Amino acid sequence: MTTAPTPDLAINLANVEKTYKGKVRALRGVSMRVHRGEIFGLLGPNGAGKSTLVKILMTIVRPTKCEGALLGAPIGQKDTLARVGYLPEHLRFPGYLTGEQTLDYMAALAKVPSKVRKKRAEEMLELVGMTAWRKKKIGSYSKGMKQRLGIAQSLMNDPDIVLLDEPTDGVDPVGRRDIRNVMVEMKERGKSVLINSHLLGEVEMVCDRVSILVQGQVAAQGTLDELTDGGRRYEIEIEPATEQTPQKLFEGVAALTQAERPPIAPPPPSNAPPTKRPGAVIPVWRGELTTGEAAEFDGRTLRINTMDAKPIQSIIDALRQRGVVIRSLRPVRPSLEDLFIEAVADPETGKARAVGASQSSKKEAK
Amino acid sequence: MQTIALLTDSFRMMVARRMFWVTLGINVLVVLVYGSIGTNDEGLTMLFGLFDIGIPMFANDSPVYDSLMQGIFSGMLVPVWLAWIATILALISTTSVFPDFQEEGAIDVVLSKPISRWKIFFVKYLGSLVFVLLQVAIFCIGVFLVVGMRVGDWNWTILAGIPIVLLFYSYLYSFNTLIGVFTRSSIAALLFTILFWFMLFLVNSAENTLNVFRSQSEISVQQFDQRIAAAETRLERTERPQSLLELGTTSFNDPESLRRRIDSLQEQRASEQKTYEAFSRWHGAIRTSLAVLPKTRETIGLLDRWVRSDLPYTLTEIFEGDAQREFDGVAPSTPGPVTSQIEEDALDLDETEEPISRMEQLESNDQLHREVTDRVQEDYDNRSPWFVIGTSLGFEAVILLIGGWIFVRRDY
Repeated sequence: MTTAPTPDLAINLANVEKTYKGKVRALRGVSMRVHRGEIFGLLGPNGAGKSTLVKILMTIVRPTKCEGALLGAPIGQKDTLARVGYLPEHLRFPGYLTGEQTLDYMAALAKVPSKVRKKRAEEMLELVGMTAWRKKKIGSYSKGMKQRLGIAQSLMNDPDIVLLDEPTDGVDPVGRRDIRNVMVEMKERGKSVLINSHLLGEVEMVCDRVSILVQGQVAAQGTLDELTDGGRRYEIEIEPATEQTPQKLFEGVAALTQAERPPIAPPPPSNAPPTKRPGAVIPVWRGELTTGEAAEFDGRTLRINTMDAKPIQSIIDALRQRGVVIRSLRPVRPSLEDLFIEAVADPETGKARAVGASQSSKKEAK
Repeated sequence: MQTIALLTDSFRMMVARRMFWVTLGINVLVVLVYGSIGTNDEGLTMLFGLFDIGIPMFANDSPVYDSLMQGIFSGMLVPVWLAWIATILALISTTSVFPDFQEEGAIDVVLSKPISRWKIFFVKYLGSLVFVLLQVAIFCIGVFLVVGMRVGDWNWTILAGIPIVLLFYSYLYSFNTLIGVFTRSSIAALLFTILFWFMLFLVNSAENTLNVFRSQSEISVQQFDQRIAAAETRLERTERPQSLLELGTTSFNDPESLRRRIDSLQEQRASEQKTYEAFSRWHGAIRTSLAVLPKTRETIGLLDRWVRSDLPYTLTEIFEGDAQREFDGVAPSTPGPVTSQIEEDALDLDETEEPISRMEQLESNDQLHREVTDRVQEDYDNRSPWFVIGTSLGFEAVILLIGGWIFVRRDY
């Protein structure tokens, strides 16, 4: 578990592996870097190994193999945790404690001096909007309140990095915004945040970089721009499809394609136009332009996989010549959700891969 | 700081449980009932003088009353109330501590702090003993005050009940912790602990029973030895020439019948000796096996041993009438050990041929019973408290190390 010190990295992991009893391989050689002062999103379907990875960092789970460092210290070193905050998934606080007592208890375990704890607790309760409930027993808290308190306890030791596992679980929209603000504020103060969430929209709003885990492996990692670069495209939206639109569109685009190969999938049969009946499903047509760009049409929108505006001009001309009414034209960057779906898709079938960690075969186990 | 935080949390957890207050309420009630036993000019009174029992030997704070009060504490309240009923209540209250603590979401947040798992495990374990510590401390201090105020005997030994009962409970709770950590189930932990406790009870009882049988056989062998020795003396006396003076005082026995009698006694002695050896063997084996197990009965018995040593009468002496006989100025029913009596009886060998009356038989049985009880008690009293507590704590340490190892190595 020794690595060269990397002061600019809050987390530097290499080849993390975890095989649970029963030969369940939760992690299969995960490498990941989280810089200081950034918000990092850890994404993945259920059972991808996200929580296991976070728990390894927090010494809750022992790795089968792990190289790397947390805040410059080897993974597994307890002392480092004094500078780390953690909000576990499905957090459960003792119901007999009040909010104030809970924060004091957690801070004491995190070695926060007793003189600082009271003031810090007041600040944190204020930060998560729980001051009015500080003297109430946790047993009377709602799920969202417990989650807010969980966030507060994770920050009691003024950590250099905080790991949040599903922080907005059960929290109302106002609370979610508050939590996002807390994360951004931490980032502004040069602290790091690692967030593990299923709410891709929220992750997209605050994260600088993301890593998508699938079946215990990193399927994609980088900044949002880096990850979405390959998927950028132009989308040409046309007037709601009529019986003739697909055919017109086909004709328009065909002029731009090589003659010897069909430009966009086979044209619809004239006797059964796909848009004749309301609600009918139009098959997606896919093909390639002469300039090499891939294109697809679903009956309403033509998508051209390029960020170059030149070929788009010709297409617009061709479409307009054939009387197709263009409603809008816009450059599009794939959403995090698109990325996620693409990352978790099985390359062979195109469908989402099976949920859960993989079972190691006997050969692999050896 | 971390230790104090964990202990404070344990204390808060305990006082938040309803069972804590129920047990405390019963404890206070028991102390109140105990403290309501008083004396007046006529004897004992109950419920602060509401009922007169009227046994004169207890009248006016007599030493017998002092012995009774402290004997009830060490011989009845501690072994029955604290070591049985209150222990079950405490187990019910604390059995869920480790299973609940290990639930997802609860343990993660604690393990993510800069504190070692061994420390969490041991402090959590000690914290759970707070429940018993508080209950027993309140109980023993209550009894100490009652005895001090009622009898005027401020016997600090009573307070030894606090560590003794705590030790006793810790033996059981260590096992409860092991099962709780291993299975993460409160029900399984409770059931297996009660089974373990029952097993300890059986082993302890078997040891005690075999000790009684062994002592009985030992006494029996000694009786035969004395009878044989007496018969041989008689034979020797019969066979040698006697003076005229002796002729007048000695019974005439047929030497042949005396020899037959000696042979018969030796056969019976040999048989009893075999029985004694068998019991000794079994008792030794079970005592050896008990050496590695926690000595629940003996640990609790230590308190009675210490308290009893300061008192003029034991509870047995009060209940069996010795104190009453002494109060009445009558000689004790048992002038001495049954073996020395046999020696005297054996000298009059002729009497053995005579039928023994029912009353004599009962008295003889009673004497035998008391001697056996005395010997068994002496055997227990001779066992070193350090051995009793040390070996029990050794067992507890091993169990806790196994439990701690599971706790430390587990992924949560």
